[in-house]
Amino acid sequence: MGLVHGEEMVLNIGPQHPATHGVLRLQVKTDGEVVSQITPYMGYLHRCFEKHCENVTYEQVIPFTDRCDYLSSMSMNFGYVVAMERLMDIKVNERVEHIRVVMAELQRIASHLLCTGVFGLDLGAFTPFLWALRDRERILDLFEMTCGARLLYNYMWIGGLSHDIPTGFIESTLKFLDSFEPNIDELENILAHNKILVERSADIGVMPKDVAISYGVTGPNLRASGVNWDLRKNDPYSIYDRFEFDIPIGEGIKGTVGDCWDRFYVRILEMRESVKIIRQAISKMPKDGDVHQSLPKKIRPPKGSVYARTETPRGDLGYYIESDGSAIPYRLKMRSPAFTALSVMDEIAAGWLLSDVLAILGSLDIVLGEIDR
Amino acid sequence: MTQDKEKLIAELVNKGLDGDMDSVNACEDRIIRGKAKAMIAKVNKGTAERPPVPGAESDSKLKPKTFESLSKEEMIAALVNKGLDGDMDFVNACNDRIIRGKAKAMIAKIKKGTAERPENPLGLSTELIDDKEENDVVENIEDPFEIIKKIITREFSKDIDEGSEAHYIYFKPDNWLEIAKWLKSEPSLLFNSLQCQMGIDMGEDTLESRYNFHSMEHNHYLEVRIRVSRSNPKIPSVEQVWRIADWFERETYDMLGIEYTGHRDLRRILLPDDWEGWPLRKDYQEQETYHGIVVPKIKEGWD
Repeated sequence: MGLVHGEEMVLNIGPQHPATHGVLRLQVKTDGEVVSQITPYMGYLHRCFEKHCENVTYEQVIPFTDRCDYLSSMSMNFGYVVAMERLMDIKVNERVEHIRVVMAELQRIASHLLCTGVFGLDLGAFTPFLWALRDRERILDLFEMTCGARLLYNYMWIGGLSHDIPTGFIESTLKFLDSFEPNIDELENILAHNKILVERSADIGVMPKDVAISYGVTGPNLRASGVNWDLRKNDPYSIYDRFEFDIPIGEGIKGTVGDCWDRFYVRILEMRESVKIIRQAISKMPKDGDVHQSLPKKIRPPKGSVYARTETPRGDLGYYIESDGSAIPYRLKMRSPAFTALSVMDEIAAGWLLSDVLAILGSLDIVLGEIDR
Repeated sequence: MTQDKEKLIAELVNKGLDGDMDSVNACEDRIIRGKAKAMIAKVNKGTAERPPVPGAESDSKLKPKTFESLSKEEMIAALVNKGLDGDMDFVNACNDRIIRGKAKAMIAKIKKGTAERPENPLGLSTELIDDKEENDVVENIEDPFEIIKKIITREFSKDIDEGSEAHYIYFKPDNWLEIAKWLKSEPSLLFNSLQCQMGIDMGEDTLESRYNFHSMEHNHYLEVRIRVSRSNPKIPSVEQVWRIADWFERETYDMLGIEYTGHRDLRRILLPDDWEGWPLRKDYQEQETYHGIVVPKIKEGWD
């Protein structure tokens, strides 16, 4: 006797679907309600990032990086300037480093807030989403105060920053952190231990360690699978080696290690760690230091190549830059964390129910701008 | 959560399941109490396994297993093994719809070749999977890359192409798949993660495919470059060695037209299927029109 099959149906989720977090089309083959194969189709948001970069100067690339992952623009800027500074062998001053870390961690909180909020929304919990956005809004206010923009900042420049932090920024940030910390507990209580959310996410979409590593999954998704790997600790860039913080990893508290609930919960824990880092960075921040390093008007890095990775809210962001000595990049490649996270979909989501696919997709926290570039 | 807490919860759960709910309620830590109760409910419902009593772990693991005693994962693995051995009736007889569906999906995958056959939990293998020690870093190395290079040269000196420099190695394309497998499995290298793969047009007649590797065990890096000519841009695919190479290679194919031979699903990934040309090659000419839309050519104000 062969395989018993019901009638197979091909179903398209997207390109415009609220649960796909952007313009993504998932072609899903289903047998009844059970999914047997998922083929993601992307490219709807392809804006030729890498081609554009070969036509603009090194400084002009920074606004493009904003637009790749529009939910963590600061981290995208950060990755690029770290790569450029490594290529040009520039050392930036202490004040700049500290401000960058504060910004990047605020951005991490903002991004994780959106992710956890939307994850709840995907599973039908509306209130926590509003709570999360309320706090994210206050982070955006802090960014607006600094550089005038709320979404696409163009804040970190090669060798420095576009502006120094304004008067009152430190006080506002500390005030925000004080009121935000209890809010994390609140968010955790209403979401993480909520019976409905646990039933919908625990034991679902389990991503084992070896699968995660083979598929190049990084960031919170990898840590949720029980791998203790965070670039801020394991391959420190900037000044992350000076701060004390823990790396939360998935422990399968509600189900299996590496399930959707773990991926979601790791992000909540990470927000607490980010708060720790911000407090330390603020207390250690030097009072003086020029945020505009004196660089030549046209930046011409030496001939050569560099591959630098940084830890964004979504995982390892790598920039591969090949320079031929001119003011324009010869080739620039962005290795985006969400791209690799999406590629694992077929592997971990096949065999689950259709409704679980959306939970799995939400837990991977993808941003299509960064996948399509 | 620390080990202690886990132990405490396991202990409470076992007490609770044996009828001693008072000692569960007596626990002062609200979270531990809550977790223990949640677990008791789960075990009663059948969605979780009873945790081993702390201290008595070694006994429970030696017990022979029956199908009903397995966890969901193991049930699926067992069904998949039965199914692959030809006993589909056993698979169809499984009452749990989800487990059955998953097992079937997995069987299909294995037959297609995209998944590996899981270990049969009902078989003789009772060995426990140990977590690898990750602190096994090679110490006291002045330049780790020199050592990596030496190890590779010893094994594959014929395949190294000229031009290898400070932090990268050039390979000839012919033997690449074999080298890739070796790089991943060689105990002194263990490059288990492919960080980045990209293509680049080096002008004249050369296209390059570059790979950035990282080993999580040894925490060392390697950059591999492979040159091919524009007229015959063929490189063996390593998609089955590191699964992420699947999409990376598709992207490089999409942008530079490097063909990865042996890739099971080599199509364009970001651009539409009917796009003409390879945009990231330096001699790329935009098409005149695309589906009747005129592609603008004037780039005023770009310089």
